[in-house]
Amino acid sequence: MNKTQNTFITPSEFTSLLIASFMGIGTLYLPNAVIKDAKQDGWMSCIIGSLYPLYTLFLANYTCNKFPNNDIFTLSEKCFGKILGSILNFIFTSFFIFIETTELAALSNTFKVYTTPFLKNYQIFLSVLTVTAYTVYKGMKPLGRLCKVLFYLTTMLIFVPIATLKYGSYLNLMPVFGSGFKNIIKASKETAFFYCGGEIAFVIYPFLQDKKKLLKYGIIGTVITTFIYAWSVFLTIYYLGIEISPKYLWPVLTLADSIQIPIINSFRYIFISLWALVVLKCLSVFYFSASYGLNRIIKKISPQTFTIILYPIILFLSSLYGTPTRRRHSTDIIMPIYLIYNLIYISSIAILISFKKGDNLEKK
Amino acid sequence: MGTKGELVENLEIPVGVGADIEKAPSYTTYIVPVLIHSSENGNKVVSNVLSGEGSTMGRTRENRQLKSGKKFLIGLNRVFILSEEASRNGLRNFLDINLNNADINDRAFCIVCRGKSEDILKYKVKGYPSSAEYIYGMIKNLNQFNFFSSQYTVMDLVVRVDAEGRNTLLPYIEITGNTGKGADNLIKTTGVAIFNRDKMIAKTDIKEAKVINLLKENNVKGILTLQRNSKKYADFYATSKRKVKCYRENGTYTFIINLDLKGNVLNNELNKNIYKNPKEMKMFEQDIEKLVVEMCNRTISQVKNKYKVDILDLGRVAAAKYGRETGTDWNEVISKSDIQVNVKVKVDTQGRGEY
Repeated sequence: MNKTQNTFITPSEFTSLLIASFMGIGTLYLPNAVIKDAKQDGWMSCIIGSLYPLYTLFLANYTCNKFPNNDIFTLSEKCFGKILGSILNFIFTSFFIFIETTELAALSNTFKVYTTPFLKNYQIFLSVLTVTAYTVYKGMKPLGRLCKVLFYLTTMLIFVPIATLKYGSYLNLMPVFGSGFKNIIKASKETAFFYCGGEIAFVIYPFLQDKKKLLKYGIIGTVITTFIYAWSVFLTIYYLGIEISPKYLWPVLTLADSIQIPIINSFRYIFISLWALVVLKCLSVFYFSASYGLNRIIKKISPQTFTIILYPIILFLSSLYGTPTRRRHSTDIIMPIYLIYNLIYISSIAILISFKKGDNLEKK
Repeated sequence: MGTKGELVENLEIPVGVGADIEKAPSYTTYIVPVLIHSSENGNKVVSNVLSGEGSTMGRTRENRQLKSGKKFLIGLNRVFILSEEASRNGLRNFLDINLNNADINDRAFCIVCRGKSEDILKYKVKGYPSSAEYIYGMIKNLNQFNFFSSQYTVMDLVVRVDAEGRNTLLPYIEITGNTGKGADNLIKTTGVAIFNRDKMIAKTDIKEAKVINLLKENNVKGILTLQRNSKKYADFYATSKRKVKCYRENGTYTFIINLDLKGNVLNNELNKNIYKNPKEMKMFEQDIEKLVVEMCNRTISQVKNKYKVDILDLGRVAAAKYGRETGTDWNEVISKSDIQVNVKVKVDTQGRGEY
């Protein structure tokens, strides 16, 4: 029992945390990833791609039902032994650090083009990371509340491009199923990066007050994310078409400009500034998972100290990425390794604990 | 702009940007004249044209700064005036440099002009601070008549140039003499420029442009006239809705364009009985239908034979039904296909009465 067990998050905060971990800067260039293979049926690939987080959630639910108070770190030590378990935990935590750095670098890339071309990389990193570190320093409960509040902002922003419905044409989306089932499935593999935050469910389920609700609220979170992704891909294809969308590095930002407000010259400035808050939410969640995870491996150092320790590490790693092309390229190489590792890791833990006796939550 | 921002007095605010080109056998020079407003002595706003030349579009910027007294700012212009020569050479580099810059005003209008865009930008228009504002207003209000649409912005251009089954049409302006009156020249829209992908291939006059617009655009307004002689005519101001159906048999495509015209009769010197007798009204509607079908068929055969380009955006409908990126050249396919026009006319309102 660690003292953080005294904090509990409500189910809706859990849902918002999940959604926060899925949606970051990636939402802005998700359409390109699916249009590449599935062409005009890209929005269907988003729906099929949601199977990956759903699978993670099911495993998390199963693990939670068996061992409601032990998160994945203690379980892995139980199953694999102390040393091997710690190593595996460490690799698992490094996954969060990796996502954190790539999101931060992506945010900096977007900002330097659209809003602040006069800022250097490290200036954006420092300011964003300080805010994020402060949020994480305060602990789980403020993080949960932050995610819940900013969720409403996310929904609002996602419905901003609705004005494109007037200008686009449904012809761009046809013929439906024209690209063939095989291509649609192929494109849904590309969505794996955008759906990759589900593992935090394993880390935070001990904080959940009512463990029985994990599956229901987790699925709600995944469904909302899937809907938002499919909606943004749908609108991008509807408005820009499959030939034009790949010409943009961030096609969704072009959609945001379709709103014509008389005094404001370009709405995309406002959109990207507000979207930065959404990305901050995502960064905080991963930063928290990373520092909390490290605390569970090395119990002597508190999560707060780890927050401070990780700060320069993340700063340094984010600066290694460079331009969007190089960043996306390196992410494309490293990501599949982590994905396969995660899948094998959580699946093997689920299988191994099925042989063990659980902490019986079943007796009421 | 920098962390400190910049005083407006120190900035050159471009209102209109042109694109000219000078092609010599060994090299091509891009000329980008910019019509700028700069403040002089406080509140007075002076406009003048500053031109930059270079071997690439980007170098025109550095060349222009050498001649300028203030800092150049991108993104506040309302119009892009592309000269005919530059359009015939291809708009791809113009689109590329503009798409790349996040500050560009995506809602600036793009039009093609005859001659050099520098001349259009230098032209003084009475009652407007500069010709760019006049042109912006003109293009914005073109959609009142002649079945013009209002979608001639940079964003519309970007979306149409490389899309499968779509082709661009931009308004064509020139400085012409006002027919009849004295020596007053003015800037006038004299037709449309027809593009194949990003290269302009032809220019049509207003009469043909009107019919092309009617066949191509949806939800546009214009006047149709039944004219028997100079005294007997009837004008019908219609809003047109267009639906296209596509069929394919053995590799030849058939397109059916259904036009639904609703509007009011502006004036009627032809048949005084249409307001008294519903049957006469029906005949009037049928006459207009016949007129439109005849007009359209004439233009369609000309479009197919002369331009050989899919101007009417029919390839888009075919691609939506039969598959995209199959390698079909829609220009060729449309030129060989069978295009039919069906028209339905309905007189909506009759105005106050007739004299």
